Amino acid sequence: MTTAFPPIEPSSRSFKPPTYPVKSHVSQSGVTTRRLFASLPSQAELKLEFKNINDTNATAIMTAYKTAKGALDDLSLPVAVFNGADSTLTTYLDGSSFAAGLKWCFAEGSPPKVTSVAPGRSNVSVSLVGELRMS
Amino acid sequence: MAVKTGSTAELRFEGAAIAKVRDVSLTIVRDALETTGIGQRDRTYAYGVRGTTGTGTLLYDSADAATTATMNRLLNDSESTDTIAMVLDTNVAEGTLEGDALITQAGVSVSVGSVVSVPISFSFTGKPSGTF
Repeated sequence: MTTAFPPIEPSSRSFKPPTYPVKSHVSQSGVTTRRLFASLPSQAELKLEFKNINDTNATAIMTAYKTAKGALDDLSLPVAVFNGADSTLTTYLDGSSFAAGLKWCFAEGSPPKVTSVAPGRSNVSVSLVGELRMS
Repeated sequence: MAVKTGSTAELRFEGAAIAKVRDVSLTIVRDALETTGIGQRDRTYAYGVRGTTGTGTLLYDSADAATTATMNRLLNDSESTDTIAMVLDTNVAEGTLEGDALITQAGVSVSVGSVVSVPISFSFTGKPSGTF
């Protein structure tokens, strides 16, 4: 099941592209050989920071985490998450240019972190992982 | 209606007017919490926490209890706060801000040919009551 991540524009965003499963081997003669063990990359990382958002938006993120049962279900990311990037870069940031079928989910063992900064205002940090899943 | 001058203003400590005040200022600040999204080109903000502080300069008069009480407050180990009121016009009820405050600084400045002055600073704890 896919859970919709709330359409909240982040204050900052960092992205680490998915990696290809490449293994390297250095022979006794010093020659390096690399082999690709899969056709598609996976394990992309997307970290989102939401600064001073109101309680309604912080609750929406918590609700998405609860609905997705943490890292179990995958997420559909709204365009607001990629605001500030042009359409071409967005296709890389959302992972679709790297691998069709890359699915985003909350990072295992790293639930959203809420820091309350003022009445009704919180900083929320979210860590997402993009991975290939059996459907 | 008329603009007011310093002659109609008053600074009170624990309800008693301080006899000689050269200057006093009161500042109310509310934090601006930045809410700018990553796709925006102009910064946006939301209101944060409010704080009220003040500074002033008293003229030392050993016979004025309010003046000496203000100065001695820093030598008192009591944890309780004191009531400070800034009155902009003693002739009307409006224009008075009052609240619990901590005297955070009181110094004494003495120089030849000048009156003994006492710069003070205070911070309100909580929201002051009243309006301008």
